[in-house]
Amino acid sequence: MVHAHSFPKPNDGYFMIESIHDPIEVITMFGNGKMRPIRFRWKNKIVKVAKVTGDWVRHEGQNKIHYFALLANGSDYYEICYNAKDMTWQLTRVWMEG
Amino acid sequence: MHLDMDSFFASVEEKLNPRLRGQPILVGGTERRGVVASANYAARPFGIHAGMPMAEAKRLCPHAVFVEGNPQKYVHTSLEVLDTLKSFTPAVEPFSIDEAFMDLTQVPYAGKPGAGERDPGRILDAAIPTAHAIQRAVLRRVGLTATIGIAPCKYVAKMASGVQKPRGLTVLTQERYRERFWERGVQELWGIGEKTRVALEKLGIRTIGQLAKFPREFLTFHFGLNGEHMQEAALGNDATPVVPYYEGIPVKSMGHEITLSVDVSDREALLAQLLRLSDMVGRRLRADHYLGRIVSVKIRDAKFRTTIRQRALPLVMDDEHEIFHTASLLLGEHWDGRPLRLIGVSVSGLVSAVGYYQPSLFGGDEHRRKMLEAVDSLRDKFGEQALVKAGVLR
Repeated sequence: MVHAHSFPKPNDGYFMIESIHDPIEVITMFGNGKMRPIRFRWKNKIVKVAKVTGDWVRHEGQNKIHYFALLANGSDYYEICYNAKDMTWQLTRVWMEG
Repeated sequence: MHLDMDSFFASVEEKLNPRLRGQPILVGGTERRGVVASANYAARPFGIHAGMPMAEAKRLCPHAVFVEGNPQKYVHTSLEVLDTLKSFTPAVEPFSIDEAFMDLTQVPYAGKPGAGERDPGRILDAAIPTAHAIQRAVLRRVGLTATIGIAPCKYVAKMASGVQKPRGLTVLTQERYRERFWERGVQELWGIGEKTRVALEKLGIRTIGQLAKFPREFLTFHFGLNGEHMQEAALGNDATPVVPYYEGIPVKSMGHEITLSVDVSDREALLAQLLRLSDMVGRRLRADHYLGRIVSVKIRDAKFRTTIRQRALPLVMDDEHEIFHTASLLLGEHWDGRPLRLIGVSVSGLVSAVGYYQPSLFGGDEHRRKMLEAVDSLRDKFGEQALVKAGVLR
C-alpha cells in the first residue's frame, strides 16, 4: 500500500512517497561478501540501478533486514530492503520525478 | 578533542540522495507532534533548529524537504565514524550518535611536542594536523563533514567545537576559552538551560565571567553541587577523563517515555502506555544486566507542566511487572485526571546484576524468572514484536 506523505509537496517536480512496503523482484549480484542490487521490478516498472549510494542493516531478533539506497534512471532515488529470513524484497521509499 | 558531525541526520539523507543537495532538509517526526531532529545548513537561515516542532518548521520554510527519520541508517553511519576514529586512538568515548571525545595525549602523532614543551597553546596547536587528518578520514569513509574542538579538557573541547561550524576546527587553551566566552551569556555554557539562566540572573549573574568569579559558597548554597560544577565549567576546568568505548559508561538509570500524538485523559489508555514502557525498561535492564530499586514516573500535561514522582522498592529488581505495578500506583497517586501529552517510566538506583545474589530473585520467583528469560529469548530470536503483552494492545 502506498502512503503518500502529507508534508512533502512537489519540489522542482519531485515528490517522495514514504512507507511503501511494496513487494519487488530484484536481480542482485553477490561477491566479496556483499550483495548489490542491479535491477528490480516494481509493479510493471523496470528500474535499472545506476548507483548504490549507501546500505545499512536493521535487526529483528536474529533476522537481518538489509537496506540499500539507490539512484536510478538519472536521478530517481529508491530505498529497498531484503529480508534474510523469508528472502523477500520490498520497496520502502521513493523520490522520483512526478 | 571533541568531534561533532555536521547536521548529521540531514547530511546522511543528503549523501544517500544527491538530489536533495542544496535544498533545505528537515529530518524528524512527521506525525502531528513531530519535532525536527536535524536540519541542514540550507534550512537554518529560515530560523529552523533541532527540537523545533515540525509544524512550526513547515511554516517557516514550506519548500523544505521533510524526511522521516530512520535511526538504523544513522546508527550504521555513526558506527563507521567511530571505527574511523579508533584507527587514530583507542581512547574514543562516544558521547552521542554524532559526537565523540578523543584523548590524544597518550598517542604519538607527527609534530607532537616533547615533554619539555610548556606553552599550552603550542601543545594544543600541534594536534591540528591530526585533527585535519581525522576530518579527511571521516569524509573519505562516510562522505560527511565533521567539526572538531581541541582543548586541554573535555568541557572546553566541546565548547570549542561549537565555535565554528561546519567543517570547523577550533583550538582553545584555558586562557583563550576565557577570552572568548567570559563576556557571553551563561546560557551559552553547555548544560545550562533557560531555567538555570533565570535562576542565575536572580543572583545578578548574567555572563560566564560573572559566574566564574562569583563566590563559590553562594553558588553551592543556591544550587548545591551543581553550583560548583557550573563554576568549574565557567572557569574551563574539567578533570573528567575520556572514558574509552571499551570501558563502558556507568549507567545511572534506564527509562523510556513517549509523547502522545494527542492529549490523553483516558486512564486505561495511559496504563496501556505505562505497561508498554515498563516492558521496554525491564527488557533493557535484563539485557544489560542491571537491577534497580527506584521506579520513577514522569507525566507532562497540555500546558507542559511536568511532574516526576518516584518510589524506592525494598529490593532491587528487573521485572517489568514490578516496574508497572509501582508506576501505576505512582500515576494513581499523582495524576489528577488532566489530559497528558507525555508519559514516561524509568528505573534508577542501579546495580550490576552480574554476580548479584538476592534470595527473592532465585527462590519463590523462580517460575517468573524462567518466564522472563523465555520471553527475552524469543524476542532475541524473532524481534521485539514477537511477543506483546495483551494490555499494550489496547
